[in-house]
Amino acid sequence: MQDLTHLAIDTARQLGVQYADVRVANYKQQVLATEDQRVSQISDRDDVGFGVRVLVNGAWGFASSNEINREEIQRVTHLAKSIAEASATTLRQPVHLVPEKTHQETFTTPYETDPFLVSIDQKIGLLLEITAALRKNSRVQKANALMNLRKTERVFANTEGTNLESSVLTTSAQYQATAVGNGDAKSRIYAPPPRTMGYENIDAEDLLQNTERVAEQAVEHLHAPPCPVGQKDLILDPLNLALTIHESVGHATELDRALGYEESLAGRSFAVPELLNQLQYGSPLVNFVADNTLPHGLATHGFDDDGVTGQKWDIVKDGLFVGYGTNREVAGEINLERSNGTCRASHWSNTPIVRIPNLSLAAGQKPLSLDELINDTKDGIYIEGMGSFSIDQMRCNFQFGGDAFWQIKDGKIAGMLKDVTYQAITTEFWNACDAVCDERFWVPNGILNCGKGDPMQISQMTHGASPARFRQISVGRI
Amino acid sequence: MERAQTEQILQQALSYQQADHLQVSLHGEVDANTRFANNTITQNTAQKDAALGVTAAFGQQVGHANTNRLDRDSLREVVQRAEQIAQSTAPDTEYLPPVGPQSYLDIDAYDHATAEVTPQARAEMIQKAIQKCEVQGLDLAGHFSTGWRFSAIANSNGVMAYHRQSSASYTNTVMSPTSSGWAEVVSERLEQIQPLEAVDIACQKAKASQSPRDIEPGQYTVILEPSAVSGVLGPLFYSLEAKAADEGRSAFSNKEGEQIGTSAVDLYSQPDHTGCPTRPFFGNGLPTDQVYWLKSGKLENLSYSRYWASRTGHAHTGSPTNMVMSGDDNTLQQMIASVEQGLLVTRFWYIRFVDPMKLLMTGMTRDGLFWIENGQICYGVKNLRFNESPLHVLANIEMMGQPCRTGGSAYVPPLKVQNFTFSSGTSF
Repeated sequence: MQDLTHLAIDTARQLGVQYADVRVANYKQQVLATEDQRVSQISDRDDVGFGVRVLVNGAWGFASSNEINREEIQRVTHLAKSIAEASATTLRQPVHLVPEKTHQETFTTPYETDPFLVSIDQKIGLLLEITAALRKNSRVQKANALMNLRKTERVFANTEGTNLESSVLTTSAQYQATAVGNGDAKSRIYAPPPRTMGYENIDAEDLLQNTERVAEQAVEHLHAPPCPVGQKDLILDPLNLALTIHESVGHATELDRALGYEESLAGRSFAVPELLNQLQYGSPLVNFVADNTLPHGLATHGFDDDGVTGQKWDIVKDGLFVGYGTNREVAGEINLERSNGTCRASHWSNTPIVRIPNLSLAAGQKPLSLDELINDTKDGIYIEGMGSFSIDQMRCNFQFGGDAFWQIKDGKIAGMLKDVTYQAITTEFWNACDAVCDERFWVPNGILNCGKGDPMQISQMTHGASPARFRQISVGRI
Repeated sequence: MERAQTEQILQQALSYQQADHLQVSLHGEVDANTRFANNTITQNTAQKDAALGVTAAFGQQVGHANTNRLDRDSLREVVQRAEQIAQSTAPDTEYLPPVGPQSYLDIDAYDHATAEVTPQARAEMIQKAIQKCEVQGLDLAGHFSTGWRFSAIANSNGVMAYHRQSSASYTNTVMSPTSSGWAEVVSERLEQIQPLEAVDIACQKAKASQSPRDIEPGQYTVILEPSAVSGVLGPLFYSLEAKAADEGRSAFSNKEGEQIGTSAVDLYSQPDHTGCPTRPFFGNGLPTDQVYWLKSGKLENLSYSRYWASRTGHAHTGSPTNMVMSGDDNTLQQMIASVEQGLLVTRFWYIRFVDPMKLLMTGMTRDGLFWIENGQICYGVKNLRFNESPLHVLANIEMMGQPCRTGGSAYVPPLKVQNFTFSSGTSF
C-alpha cells in the first residue's frame, strides 16, 4: 500500500503544493442483532478507499475515491489541488500548520482474539441466548441484543516525510428488555463499555449474568411513579456521565468549534479562547483529562489524521478551564507550539476535523464509594445509563434523561422513577458537583456514534467517570 | 454510474448465486462539499464511491455482505461472504423470498449541469455571499454541496431497477456579535435555487434579532417556519411502524383511523412529488408509491413492512419515503399578521425523543427567534428549549402557509400553532 501513498505524495510535490497528506483506509464491520428468538440482522461490510488533502496558497483542497489504482490516485491528487485553488479565492488568512516532527510508526490495538475470526454461529448464538434469557421473564414483551465489531486499517503519509500505519479494533455488545402495559412501554438496557479490544471485550458470562436483573428492572420501570418537578440532588453513574461529559465538555472544548468553524451545522461554544485559564468550568473537584494514549480507549489510534501522535493533557484542572482539543490548523490560534492530536476523519472520503479525544472525569482523590455517596444524600435521584439528550448550539442549556432512575430518600434507594429528565446550564451544573467517587468506581464508557461535520462524520471516543453528585439540579421541567 | 454499468455489475453478482435467493443493490455518489465560516472557505472536498450490497438466503437463513470493491473477484467474494454468513446462522423468521418484476414510477430527478458543478463555480457563488455579509459587518458560515447519486437493485426473481438523482443544497448562517440568522435552498436542479436570496434572508434575520431580549419559558402561539415544521414533525415519521404499534410499543398503538390532527392536516409521502422527488423503489424491490399517513387529520396508515403486511393482511406501505404536507395560500406575512402575541421560530436544533410513547420531543430554537405582538415582528428574543409533541402540534394548527422544500426530503408549509410549550431558556 505504501507505494500508492508515495505516489500521491510524489504527485502532490510535483504539483508544487505547500503540504499534502494521503490516507488509505479499509474498514471492516460486522453488525449482528437479535429480536426475541429471531436473527434480525447480520451485516458484514468491507469498505476501502483513499483521500488526498492538499494545501495550496494557504487554502485546503481534498478529494477521495474508492478506486485504488495509480491512475485514480493521480487524478484525485490533481483534483484536490484544483479544489484548493478554488478555496484560495476567498482566503482571508492563510492556513498555518503548527510544526510536528516526522514519524515512522505502526500502531496496533492490543488484542487477544480477532473478532472477525470468531464464528458467526458463536456470536449469534450468544445474542439469541441473551434474548431468550430476557424473555424468561413473562412480563418482558420484547428483547433485543446487538453486537458491533469494527476493524479500521489506515496508512498515512505526508509531504513532510511522515509514514504511519495503524490497525484498530473496536468491539461492543449490549441488550435491552422492554415491558409493555397500561398504555406505556419502558425499557432497561445493559451496555458494558465499548473498547478498542478484541472479542475478549464481549464477556458472555457477564452479559448473561445480568439478564435477570435487567428484565426485572424493565418491569419495575414500567410501573414506577413519574419524575417529580423541582430541584433534586443527582447522583449520576459513569454511563450517564459519559454522555453529559461528551455533550457539555467534549464538544464545548473543540477549538475549531470555539473559533466558529462548525457554525453552519454543529454550532459554536460558550468556551471561547478568551476564557482559557479564566473560566471556572466546574467545582474544584472537577478535573477533565484528555488522553488519546488511554489503553483500550475508543480514540486511542496511535496518531491522528494530521500525523500527530496521541497525547495526554488537561482540559479542566481543579475546575478551571485550561485546554482544548486541537488540530495542526487551529492550535496556533491559542499559541500552542504543537497540536495535541485530535484531528480525525471518520471515513476515507472525509477531510479530517477536530474530534473529541478520550475525555474523562478524573476519579475523586478521597476514598468514597457509591454506597457512601447514596447514604450521604437526603433527597435525590440516582440515574443510571444513557437516555434522551439535547443541548443548544453554544453548549449552554442542556436536558438529559437516563436509562434507570432511583429515588433516594434519607440516604437509601427508595424504588424506581420513570420519565426523569434533568436540565441545567453547563457551567452551573459542573460547579454544582460536590462529590466524585474514587478510582475503584471509575468506568471507561464511551460513545460510538458522535456526529460532527457537514457532511456528517461519525466518530468514537471514551469518557470515563466515577459516580458523582450534583446539588440541587432542576428535574422534570418539561 | 450509468444504468448500463450498474446492470452489468448487478448481473455479474447474480451470476455467482449458490443460495436459494439473492438480492443485490448498488449505491453510489459523486459529491462535492464546500464549507465556509468566518467569511472564508474552510473545507472543500470531492468524493466518489459506489458499494454493492448482497442479501443471500438459504430457506430463512439470511446473510448480508457489502463491498465497495467492484472488480469481478470482489463481486464473487462478497456474494460468497453473504452466502457463508447465511449458512452459518439461525433463521430470520420474518424473511420473505424476493419479489418478482415490478412496475415503477418514472421519476425525473437528475440534472447533468447540477451533477457537474465545479469547485470554482461554488467558490464564486460563496465569494458573492461573503461580500454581501462583509459590507454589512456580518459573518457568514455555511455549506454548498452539489453532486449526484444513483441506486440500482436486482434479484434472482427478475427485478432490475435504476434511479439517479442530482442535488444542490446551499445553507447559511449569518452572525452579528449578538445574534444569528439562517436560511437554506435545496433542489435537484441548481438553476431552481437562489443561494443569494438565502444570504439576504439570513442577513435580515441576524440584523433583526440583534441584542435579543429575555423571555420567560411557557406556552406560546408560534409561527413555525418550514424548517421548524419538518424538524418537529420528522420524529413522527420515524414512529409509524405498524409492528411496534401492534405490540403496544408505540405512540400510535390502537390509534389507526383516529383523528389526531385538525381536519386540514394531510401528511403523506409521494415519491414523484416534483418539489422533493425520491427513489421509485424500496430496497426489497417493491415500488414506492403515494401513501397518506394522515388524511384530513385522521391516522390513515401506519408503515407496514412486507412481512408485517403479509401477517396482518394490511397493504404494504413501506417506510415513509419523503415528508409532504398540504398547506394553504397564506403568506408568512399574513400568518404573522394574525398573531396577537407569540413567537416566530426560524428553526429547531438538537431534537430528541424524551418519551417515545407520547412522541414527546425536546430541542432548542436557533438562528432567529422573534417576538410578535399585534401582528408585527417586534424584536429578537433569547433561544428557548421546547418540550412538545408533534401530536400536539398537529391538533393545534390554526393556520397554514404555502408549502416549500426544506432539507433533503421534506415539502411542508409554515404553521401557526397554539399553546406550544417552551420549558427553559438559554443565555443567547
